[in-house]
Amino acid sequence: MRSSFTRADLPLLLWVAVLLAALVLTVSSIRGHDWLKSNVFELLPESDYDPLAETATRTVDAELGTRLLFFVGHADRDIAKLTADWLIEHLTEHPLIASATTGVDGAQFSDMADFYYPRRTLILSDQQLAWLAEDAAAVERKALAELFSPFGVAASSLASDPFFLFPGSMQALQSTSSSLQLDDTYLWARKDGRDYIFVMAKVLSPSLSIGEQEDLARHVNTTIDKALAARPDIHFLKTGFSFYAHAATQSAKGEVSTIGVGSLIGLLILVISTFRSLRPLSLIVVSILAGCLVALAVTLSVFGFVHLFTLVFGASLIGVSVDYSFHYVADDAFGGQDWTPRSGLRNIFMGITLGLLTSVLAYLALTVAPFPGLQQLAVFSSAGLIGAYCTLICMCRLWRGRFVVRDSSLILRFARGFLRVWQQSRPHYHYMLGALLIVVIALTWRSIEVNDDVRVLQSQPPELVQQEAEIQALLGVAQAGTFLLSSAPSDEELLQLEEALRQELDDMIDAGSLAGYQAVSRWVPSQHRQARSRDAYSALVRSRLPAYFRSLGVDEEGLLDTSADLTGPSRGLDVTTWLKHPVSEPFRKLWLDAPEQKSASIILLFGAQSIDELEAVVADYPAATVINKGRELSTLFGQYRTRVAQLLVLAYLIILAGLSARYGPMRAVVLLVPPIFAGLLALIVISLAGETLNLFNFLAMILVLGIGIDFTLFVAEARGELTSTMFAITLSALTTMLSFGLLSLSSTYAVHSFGLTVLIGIACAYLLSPLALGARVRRERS
Amino acid sequence: MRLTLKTVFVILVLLSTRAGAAQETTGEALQDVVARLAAPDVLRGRFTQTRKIQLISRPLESSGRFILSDMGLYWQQEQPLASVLIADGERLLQQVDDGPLESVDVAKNPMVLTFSKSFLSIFEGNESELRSNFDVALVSAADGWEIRLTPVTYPMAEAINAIILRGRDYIEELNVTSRSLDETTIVFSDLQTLPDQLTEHEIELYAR
Repeated sequence: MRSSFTRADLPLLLWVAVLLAALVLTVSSIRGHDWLKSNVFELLPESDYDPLAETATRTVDAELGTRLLFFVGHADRDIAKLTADWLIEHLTEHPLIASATTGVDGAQFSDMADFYYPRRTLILSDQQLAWLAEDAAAVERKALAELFSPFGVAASSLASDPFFLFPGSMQALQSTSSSLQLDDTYLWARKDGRDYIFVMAKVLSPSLSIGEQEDLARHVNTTIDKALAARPDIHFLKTGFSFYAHAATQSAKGEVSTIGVGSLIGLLILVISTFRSLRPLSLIVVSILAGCLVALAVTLSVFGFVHLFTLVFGASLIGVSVDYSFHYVADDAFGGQDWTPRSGLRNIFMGITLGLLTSVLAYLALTVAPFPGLQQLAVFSSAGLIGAYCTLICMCRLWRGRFVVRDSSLILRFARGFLRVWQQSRPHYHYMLGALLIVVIALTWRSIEVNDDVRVLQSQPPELVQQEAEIQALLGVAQAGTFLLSSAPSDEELLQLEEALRQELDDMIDAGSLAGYQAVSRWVPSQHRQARSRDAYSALVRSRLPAYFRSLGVDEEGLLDTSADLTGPSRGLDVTTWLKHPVSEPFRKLWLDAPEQKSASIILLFGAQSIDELEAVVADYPAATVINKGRELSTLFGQYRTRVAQLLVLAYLIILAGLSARYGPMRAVVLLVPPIFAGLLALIVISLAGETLNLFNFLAMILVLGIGIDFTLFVAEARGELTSTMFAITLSALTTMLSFGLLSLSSTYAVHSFGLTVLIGIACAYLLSPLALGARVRRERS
Repeated sequence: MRLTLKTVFVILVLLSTRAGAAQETTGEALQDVVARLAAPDVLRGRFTQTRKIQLISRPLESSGRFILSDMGLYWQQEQPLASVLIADGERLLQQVDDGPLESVDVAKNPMVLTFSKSFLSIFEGNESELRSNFDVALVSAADGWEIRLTPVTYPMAEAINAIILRGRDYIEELNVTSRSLDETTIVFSDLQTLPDQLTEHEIELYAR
């Protein structure tokens, strides 16, 4: 180590070059790019659907994901109306809002009337058809009553719609499942003495960047706050995917800094209270920073972006990557007079290399679940650990002075005492402890409950959840992402299929297990259905119109005109015509762009009580499938939970085989006992605390194995002073527990589950790690 | 019923005063009118309706009797065919001939609800409902008064040009001109406010 170059400096220089390259890469990727993403959909796997179902899912996601729903409530409906108008005006000012309306647009009604009036003989509703077939005389009597009614406004259309059937047909076309009422052009509902006016806005895109989300949320909130400042007695309700996404981003950002800052502060306290100088801290901080830098650079070059979810998890990396430095520092502190960086490195090399390998393998094993989020997490964490490891190996020689541990260090005294307890206890106590744990695990195993709901991935702020529930109660329907996907060789066959399906759905609505649906065949009946309507209409005109008109005193010419108008050819009604007319605008997306020789459509369902029931109903129609992304993902979560559990067993077997080669089968089993027990105990403690388990608890088990086995390996591999190893393990267990403990505070349930499992698992793995003493002691004797 | 019942013109007069539209009537004259008129709790009488429709050369005439009370409007047509209509602003019931009493599902048909509510508010003089849906103008004529209502909100404005009410002590004539220039005139006669409670027989009529 002279001032000039030596060969020993080569790795150092190389590594500094690598870090510089990583820095350049990271900075250039971040600058001017939208590199940080927060959309929860980015975390989820592409479904294994066929391309059509994929298109349909994306269509429905975009449709529901762009909606913002509001209710403006006040005891005086006029004030609520004015405020709703004001809200719309201010919402539309924002460039990301494509449109905002109260429920009904007068133009939409007149568009519908314009489109359907010339086709009125083709669109008789089911109810009207039944009525015509049953009692045509009643139809005429009802028309007469309408003609004389003081409220009668349809009378003017006597010449073109003599039986006043058109309003009824239109009503069936518009049939909505919501319980809102119309006042002028406002849709409203009453609750708790307030009249709530409905406002719906559409965002340009379902996946906004973090900046856009923030901007939009701020705009909406300041708009509402302004209104509240003027009139505090107005009650606003809002819901929408964008609001959830924004809340999730905000809480994730908060968590990244809480975990990052919290871990660093914890480290600082730990180092200051343990060592006589701050120099160990500089080594630790450099290796952490280098690790994070490498992690960022590798993630950005592999994926092109970093997800906030990765950063939240990644922040816990601090607690793991610091372990290698601790072992070095501890070995130094307990090394003899002749200790050199080289000898220190030699002492810990095997332990930390095996530790790195097992941790990286554990992280890479997370990628068995095909969730892009987990893959990124695995890449990020592995790269970070390798970065921290290489930094220590290549750069530790820069810290030439010796590290000195305070004798008063609590951690040192604890580690010594803890080690003594284990070393002095008789081996059969260890067996008894093992047996006791087996009994505890066996007795409590039944308490474990699982829940694979996909919503664990999204933070669910109670305030938003509450508002959404209130909005659904006012609307009378749940906005769920469940739909039917149907396909057929032609438009006509598809429309007929939809009509058959709708019969079933109508039965479900009558039975109360479905709130409503949107289907193209409601607005465009099949040709077959249109023919039925036209025939029934003609029959009514022929049998009833002449006597009816004569009794009113309509002259023969008037009778002939009306009769010819209603029984002659009508304007055509087909999907292509409908799609081109403005009337189809809100529903156009339900008709999919299908490959040639094929037609496909979506029937959007509202308030479906049971997907199983839907599936049973649709089972009779092979060309239709029920799709519910949330449910598919929940099923997937369940499948992967099982798969991860199997993989864990496999991983233990492989590690057992590997360790057997080095230690022999008996000692290998002993080395594996602490992490196995630790993982199982973590699951049991969490279950006993009343939480249900999900995929993320099981994924965390992989880390418990990966990190927990380090402890036993360090004990088994310790070449120098055993106290130094125990001291290092204690430090690293504390930092790991600190990082994952902070993770368990997350408002995202998945992150919480993951953090808590690792926290408890690592605590148990640490407490049990001296079991490996048995393996070590016997090796020395042999 | 949530709406308070008043005579049509008491409210309308008050209303038009507030709206500042009663330019041809002095404040004192209005006060007189208001003072003279007590709001009856029940108004009953006969009606004759004449409806002129473009297609038909001979106007459609119908007649019958009605009751207006805090239970809503009971409209019983006797000629040329028997029918009954009961409306209270929340629901609308209709019976034709001896057929069943059918309820028009107003929740699913907001158009019908709006129309029936507006008409009811005219009969009842419901202030807020009228004000929010019409421009109101009072014209006092030599032998009584005339009020002109012009609908301003959807969907009334789409269908109706104007509604004109005429009367002296009580409303005597209602005239509706539609956008398609069809015209409906309802003439009221034999108006009675006593007894000032609904008789048991009348309550039964509503309760059908």
